[in-house]
Amino acid sequence: MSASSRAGDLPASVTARTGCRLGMQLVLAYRFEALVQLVSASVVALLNWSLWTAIYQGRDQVVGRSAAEMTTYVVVAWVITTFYGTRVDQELSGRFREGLIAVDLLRPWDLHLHHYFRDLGRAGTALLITTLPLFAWTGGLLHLRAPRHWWTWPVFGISLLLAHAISFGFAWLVGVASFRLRNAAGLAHLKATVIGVLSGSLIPLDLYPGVMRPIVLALPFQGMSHTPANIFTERIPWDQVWQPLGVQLAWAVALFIVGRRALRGALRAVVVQGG
Amino acid sequence: MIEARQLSRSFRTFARRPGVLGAVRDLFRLGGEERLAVDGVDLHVAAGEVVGFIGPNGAGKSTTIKMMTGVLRPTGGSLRVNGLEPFRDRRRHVRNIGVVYGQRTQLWWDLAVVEAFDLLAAIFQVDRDTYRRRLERFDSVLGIRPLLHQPVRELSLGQRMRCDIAAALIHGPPLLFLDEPTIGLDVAVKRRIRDFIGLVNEEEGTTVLLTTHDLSDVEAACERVVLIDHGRVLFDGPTPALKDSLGGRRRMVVDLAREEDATPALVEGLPVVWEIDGARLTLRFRRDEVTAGTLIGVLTARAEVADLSVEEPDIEDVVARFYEDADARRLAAMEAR
Repeated sequence: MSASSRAGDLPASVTARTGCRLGMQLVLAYRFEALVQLVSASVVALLNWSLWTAIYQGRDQVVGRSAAEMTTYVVVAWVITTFYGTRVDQELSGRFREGLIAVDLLRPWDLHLHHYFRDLGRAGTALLITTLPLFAWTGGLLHLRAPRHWWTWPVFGISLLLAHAISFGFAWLVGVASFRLRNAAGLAHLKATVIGVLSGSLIPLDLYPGVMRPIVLALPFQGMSHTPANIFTERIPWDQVWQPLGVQLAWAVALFIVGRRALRGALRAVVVQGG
Repeated sequence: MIEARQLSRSFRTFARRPGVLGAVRDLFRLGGEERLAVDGVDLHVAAGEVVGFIGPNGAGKSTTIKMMTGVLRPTGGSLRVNGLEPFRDRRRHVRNIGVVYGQRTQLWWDLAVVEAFDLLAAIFQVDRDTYRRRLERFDSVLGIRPLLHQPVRELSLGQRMRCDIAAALIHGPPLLFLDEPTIGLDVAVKRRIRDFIGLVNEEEGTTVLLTTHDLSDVEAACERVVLIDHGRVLFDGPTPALKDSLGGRRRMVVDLAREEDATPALVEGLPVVWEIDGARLTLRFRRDEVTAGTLIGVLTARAEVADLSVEEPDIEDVVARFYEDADARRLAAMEAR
């Protein structure tokens, strides 16, 4: 797992290519699930949109945001969960639990990197068949506010990629912890709750009251929905946009490093059960 | 090819505490009971050998295989496979080995067989032509072509196993580990798999290490067999010698021309266990103590023999008896503690 440059190790480009391809193939093997996601994400986005539209009745501004900005935020923040939302935690702890990790280790890849690219392949496919269709219909029918500047799009794209890396990094740690604590169901639930509340996928995090706000904004989860949605709604001036991107990047890298160490520890302790 | 010296692996086992809180506390608990699953195994396998690796359930076979494939870290001794340390050099090591775990597939449940093969070829960087050639060869013995476009989850066990074996060899490894590849398979598929093992060994010189509970696999495919129990090697030698080593006795049935010749005096001085029933004499003897030729010589000198047959001990019987004894020994050891 160390010294990835050692002769005979799989080049990262091959790990990336094969990982993305596998992630893509696995999504396409479950096309029906993509449809289910499309419908359920539509319902939640619509619900949030209706809620905020009602709140803004007869008002120009609520907590410093216009109605158009707020509805755009809540819809975008939720729609992008279909891109970055990963199940790598359940996959990984399942592989450990069923002893299939013994099979995964028979490949010359870096297992952590492989899973990252595999989930990126999953996310890329989900983008095409779930996230973009969601954007299309919500943007058209709910009168969301499109970015005014062209550069918002590429910056939003980069922010999304980093949101995915953070989401992956966190889920990976949950996966390793599930295996080591032998409690996958409990942690999966905890993860869903944490992300739901702290990622900003339901409301902008600056809506949290007093003491909570700085805490919530200091955690890595804000980089999942809060940052990309704020970039999309152009809440952040373009000459300052590098700041939230830098924070996202720092968290992504930190989680990546910790994730590698956690995996190494788990593999040293692993007892492959049965047969 | 494989060099294991005093290879050992211990596990810490402890009773788990209930609940989430218990699980968290278990995480930080030190101590526990140390159990040696593999206890000083010496094993040398040369290139081109086909070795059967047998032992009762819980003997340490799978643990040994997992160390050799780089999945488990040994806790003692040394292990080199193709000159590499499997756990430390895992990513280089796995290029030189093919592995089939009979109880878990290496294919992706939701993908078609051919998609999995393509992906493995890409991961192992097998060039297009070599890949196509290998696939054709595997098809000629394993008959996998009709299965290529089916999702793995729809395959029967026998079909899946054939595909799994092909998958393990896509990158042309010089060393193949087969961990119970014939478990639960019908006779026809078993034969196909044995034939295939023979073929890759003969044509490619592939070294094969095969663990199994089916001793007919070992008799059919392996010239050498290693028997382990309690994590130790108890026998390592040519397959035919296993039966003798475990005390297997050949059986000679002699029909005498005259019933009055059938007396204990007839077998006096011979290292045999005998039984008389009318004019029929049944002898059981060990190959290493007396040859069938000697016995026939003595008997025909002492009496007139009408008919005679010699049966080899049945390997299943011999090994089953050994396993039962091993079980009894283990229980006795546990009670003594």
